[in-house]
Amino acid sequence: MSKVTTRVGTRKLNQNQAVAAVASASVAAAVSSASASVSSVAAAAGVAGAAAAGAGSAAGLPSSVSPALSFQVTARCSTTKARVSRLVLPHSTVDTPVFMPVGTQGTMKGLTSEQVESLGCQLILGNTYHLGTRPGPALLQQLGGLHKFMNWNRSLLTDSGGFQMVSLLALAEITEEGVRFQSPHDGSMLMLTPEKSMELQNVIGADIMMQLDDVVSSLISGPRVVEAMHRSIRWLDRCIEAHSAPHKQSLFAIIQGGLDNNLRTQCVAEMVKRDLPGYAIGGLSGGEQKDPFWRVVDHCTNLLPENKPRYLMGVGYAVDLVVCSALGVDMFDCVFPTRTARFGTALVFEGSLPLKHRKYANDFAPIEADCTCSTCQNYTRAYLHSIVTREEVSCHLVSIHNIAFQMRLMRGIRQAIELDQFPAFVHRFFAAQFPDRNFPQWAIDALRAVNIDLAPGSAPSSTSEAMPEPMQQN
Amino acid sequence: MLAGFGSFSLLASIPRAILVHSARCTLPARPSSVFSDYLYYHYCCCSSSSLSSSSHYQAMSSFSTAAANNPATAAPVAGPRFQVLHSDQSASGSASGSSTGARTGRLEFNAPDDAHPPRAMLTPSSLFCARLGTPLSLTMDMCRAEPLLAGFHDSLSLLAQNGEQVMRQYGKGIHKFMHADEYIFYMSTRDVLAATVDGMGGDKQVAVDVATGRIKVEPEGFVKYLDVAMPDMVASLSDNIVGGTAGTKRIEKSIQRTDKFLDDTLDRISKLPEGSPAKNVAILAVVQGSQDKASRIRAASTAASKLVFGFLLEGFNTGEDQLQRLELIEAAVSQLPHDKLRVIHGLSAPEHILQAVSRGIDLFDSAYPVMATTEGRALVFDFAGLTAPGWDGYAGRSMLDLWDSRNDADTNPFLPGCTCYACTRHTRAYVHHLLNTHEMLGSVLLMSHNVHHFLSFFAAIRKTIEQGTFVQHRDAFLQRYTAQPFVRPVVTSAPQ
Repeated sequence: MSKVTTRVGTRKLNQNQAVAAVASASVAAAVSSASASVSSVAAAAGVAGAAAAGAGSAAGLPSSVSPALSFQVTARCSTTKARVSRLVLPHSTVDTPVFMPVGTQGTMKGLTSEQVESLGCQLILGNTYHLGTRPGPALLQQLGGLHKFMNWNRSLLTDSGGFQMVSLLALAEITEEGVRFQSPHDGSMLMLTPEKSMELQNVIGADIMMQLDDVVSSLISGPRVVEAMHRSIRWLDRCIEAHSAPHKQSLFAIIQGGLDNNLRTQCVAEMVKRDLPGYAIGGLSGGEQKDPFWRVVDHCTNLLPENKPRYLMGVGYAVDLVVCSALGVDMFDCVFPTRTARFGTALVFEGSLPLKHRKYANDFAPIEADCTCSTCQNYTRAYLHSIVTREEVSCHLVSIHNIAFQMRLMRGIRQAIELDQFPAFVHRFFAAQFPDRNFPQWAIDALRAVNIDLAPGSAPSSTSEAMPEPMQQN
Repeated sequence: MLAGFGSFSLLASIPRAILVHSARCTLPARPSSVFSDYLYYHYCCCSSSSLSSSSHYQAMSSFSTAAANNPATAAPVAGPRFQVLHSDQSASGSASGSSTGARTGRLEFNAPDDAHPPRAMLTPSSLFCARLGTPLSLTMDMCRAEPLLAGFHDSLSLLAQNGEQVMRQYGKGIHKFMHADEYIFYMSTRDVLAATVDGMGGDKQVAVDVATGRIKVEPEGFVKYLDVAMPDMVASLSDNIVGGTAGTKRIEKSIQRTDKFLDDTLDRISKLPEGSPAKNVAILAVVQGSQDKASRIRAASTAASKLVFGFLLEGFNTGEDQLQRLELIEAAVSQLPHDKLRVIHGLSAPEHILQAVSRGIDLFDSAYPVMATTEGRALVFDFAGLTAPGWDGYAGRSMLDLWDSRNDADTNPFLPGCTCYACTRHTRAYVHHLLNTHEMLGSVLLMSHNVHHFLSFFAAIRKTIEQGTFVQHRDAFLQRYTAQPFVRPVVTSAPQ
């Protein structure tokens, strides 16, 4: 069987030619390969189909086709940089902007795959560091990859393992070769290299893989940040070289450069040359101030190609999701919704409910009146109050709602963009989150940069615009 | 068949009393049963052991009046009821030489509303453990994925934690509160999953441990709670001895207090206004006696004379000798009417269930599958070739240890052929990984399997009772899984 390596980065065709070439190459690869799995044939067919649709459709709207991914912008906000897109992956189609819940070790805080599916999740995250440790690559290889292992049939995205390593391990040293760390199990010194990360992620088999990047805390500045940015580019090249299944799994680059926009500019320029299926904005969500945070996001989305998905890693608070969608981000992930469920905190449009508080002891409303998740349909705040932090099932019930909330929020964002009423949605959202209209300054500044005037203390400027429909459930 | 009725035999031919229930609409018409149903009276006088005729006839006249005034509501009422369906005939052939007291039965309670059937289950069986009105580890949709599950058994934790205030304000009852409309809900003083300290109650109340401390519950608050929570069945408040052998004084005190709680409770219920929901709750008298046979007989005999729905044998699995335990159970049951429900707490290992079923016990708790799940184990034992048919991979072992690293690449389900949620979707390898990584989904999947397996064990028991093969399968099971000749008592219930 000939291995068709579609090294998109080395071709110099115009976009349409590239689209057609890649589509036919993928199909040819799938057809010629006698042992092609059903999923990659389907993926190729789906990708090719989407490409055929994309090449001539949606006049002028950006799109791209990669061997295992196709991306088509279907609507753009006329005020901000927000856009709605369709992301076709081997295991499922994803509507963006999308929030990806995190299923760290192949499971999401006690929820079954069916429960997660029924919440409308099309794409979830797995952590390579954890999975690389347990069950480990040999077992995962033997058991046919993570989808099969956890019986999750939609799409998966894995991180590189680097971030966890640096944040979880006491002894981790970064060298040019890779991340040297001490195994928490037997104390031996191990090395996570770009090659090793690719190997692990290839075995896991997620639809989207992340490069191993040299991630530095956003609170650090100076030469270390510069070094990390350049090294991330070199590691990206090593990852591209080592990635053994680009026809089945899409490798995303991660833009680094700290809070320095010049560094970010350099990084984007270099990484875009490699023409990856998608790009992530890394090195944020590490406790930095919100003002530099949004400026970096805004700067990166200005520079990144419009026809590829943009993934902002580690961002998941509702306010951040709305603002960064306005700034042109397509994909988000965060442990927050499921983690906070463990402590009995339920997420609502207005903020959050600390259900453990005794004021909920005789509150017989559901968490959110118009939420259609099974928790809100069947249980009261009072019931949840009596069991949160006491009974394990409370964790599942609140997680179900919190994930449903995140899905619903993203759906609201997408629908508002499609109706070109996103600014009104943003106004309504902020009014709900901050009833005293004491909006955070960073959000005001960020939205102003994309032409939304979130003036504190006054009604929304565009009162003549019809408010968008209440968030629809699909 | 009417033998067990005792003083109530004269009422056997009278149709069931109408239950006028303010919280419910008219009940659907139901053909009168040809079985010898136990008639459960809510208008009862309980200060003495004999039925007061005046209160009884008062009840009957209200029945006939209601019937005359409104033919539509004259339909026989659905209320708590228990009927024995089949008594074990597999007497001979057992080396122990005696026929068993095993029987199958049907337990039925009110329907949640007109659109739903009554909450019902067959016995012998078990109700799944709940705490704070919440099943352990399983959300309700996971419970509903298990068709054999019929209901839940909770302690008084929710009562103690929230008080009856919250339930009163809620106004819709415990079933709706926990999203378990169609399920049976039963409450007992003893928390079968906890090792409670005995003697912490008193003459006037029992003590219930909750997160915020030790809460006192006395008959007045208890009855108020029944009225607003509307569980299907409760064990009367009981002063349980859980700390092993007790002296004569302690045993006597336990019996007296438990008896007094019952009388007080029944009295309060009888004095409630007509139509009070508490009148519709099935009450179990609790038989104490610790490890003293004479006390057991006396306590059971007293309980038998009370106007209750059934009986709970308490104080077992508190350190008693296992052979002695069986004698105590037999002695107590010998005093109880045949046609009323017998419940036991503390015995839920399969071999103990078989022995207790042999002695006429109908309902058990689910501590065993819960404990197995906590230990990371899946139940895989076979009974009568029905619960693990064709699976001989475990000869003699009743549980699979998912912590065992030999499972790490095993793509089989826990039990090949099992139709539970977990076995039809997941592998041993995955659950082994979930346990290793301390992920909650591990216990969710194990629990769904263990509940299924445990309940299918009871279904198999019922089948063998009906077919007359119970004793032979019981003996074969004890032989296989306890490695002891069946005539000797079981020494240990620990798996593997």
